[in-house]
Amino acid sequence: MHERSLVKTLIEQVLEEGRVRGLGRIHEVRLQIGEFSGVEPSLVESAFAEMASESWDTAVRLTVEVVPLTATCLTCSEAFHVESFRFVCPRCGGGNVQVTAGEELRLVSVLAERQTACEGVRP
Amino acid sequence: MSAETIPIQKDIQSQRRAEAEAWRRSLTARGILCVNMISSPGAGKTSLLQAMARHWSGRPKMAVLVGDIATDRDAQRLAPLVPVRQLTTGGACHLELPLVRNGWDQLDQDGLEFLFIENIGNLVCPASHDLGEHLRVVVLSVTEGDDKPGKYPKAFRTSQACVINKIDLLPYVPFSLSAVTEDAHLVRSDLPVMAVSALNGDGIAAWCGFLVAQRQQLLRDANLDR
Ligand SMILES: Nc1nc2c(ncn2[C@@H]2O[C@H](COP(=O)(O)OP(=O)(O)O)[C@@H](O)[C@H]2O)c(=O)[nH]1
Ligand SMILES: [Mg+2]
Ligand SMILES: [Zn+2]
Repeated sequence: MHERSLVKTLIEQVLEEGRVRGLGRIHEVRLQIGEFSGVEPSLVESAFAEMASESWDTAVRLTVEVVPLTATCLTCSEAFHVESFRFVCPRCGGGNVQVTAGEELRLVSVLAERQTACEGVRP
Repeated sequence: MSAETIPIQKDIQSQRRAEAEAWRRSLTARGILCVNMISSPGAGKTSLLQAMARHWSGRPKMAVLVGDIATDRDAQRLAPLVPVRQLTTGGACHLELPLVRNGWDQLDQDGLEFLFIENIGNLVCPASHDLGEHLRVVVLSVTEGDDKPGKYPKAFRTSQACVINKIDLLPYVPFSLSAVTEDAHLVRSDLPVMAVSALNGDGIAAWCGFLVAQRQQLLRDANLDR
């Protein structure tokens, strides 16, 4: 299981974005997890719940959107959802297919307060 | 104060991916083909590497970085044959690039043509970690069953070759080479499937020939062949 190390990376990136963009309190982190990313959303959620409290004093919610595994057939151009991880075109039966989505682990956005100038930036 | 949505749109693995890509390029520039071998525990990765080292006996020149959770037993098996470094993960179920790089720095790299990385026995997590390899090879032994490609699709989809090992045991176990090939091709239609026995040497010459051809292709693509 490597969900913990991914969540560690995720939290580091949220903290980094917060610093660079001068964000204040973070309420929510929105993440996309591809169906074929090799990452189990429920394990990410539980790891985040545990590790977020070590990084922030206030509660930070994680919202996960699972992105379906889709592909395009390079033979007949059919775009389709890859069922049961069978990478075969449902239209022509060909196997020369390219994945178009479903492998990502993307930090989409955060719900945060903008820091006002007088609050300053905490080190 | 009210909260607002701040769009970020960032791949959280982009840095790791860039690091792996940079390392792959530096290996390419030195003419070294890097092969990441993944399998479940006991499929025969170490035995296969031993058989290859015996077959090649020094030419082309290969070295091995071998991952293990706790021991250096595999490194001890390989040490009489090829330069080898043990990577001990201390419990982690897959190798990550920094550990591999660390082992690489301690390896005898002189004149190296092939670098093999034996990953931790696990068909799940190693499939999600790019170690800067040119070729990912999934090793499956006949005692594991011919239905495994569809059960571990990521391992087979992300590999560029599949080795079916222990074919000397085919008379004793219900395992069909054509069924496993068919199942693997549902996951990746162009996956080369090679059958070998690391024990008696069957198929090892063909497998080694495949690797040599892959390296020649890499050198051609990088304009390094002369
Ligand atoms: N019969 C047979 N046994 C093999 C073969 N290759 C490996 N083995 C045995 O399978 C076991 C596991 O092999 P090992 O190389 O340690 O697998 P690894 O965990 O993938 O590195 C050992 O007892 C080997 O002797 C083979 O081709 N045929
Ligand atoms: Mg081994
Ligand atoms: Zn098609």
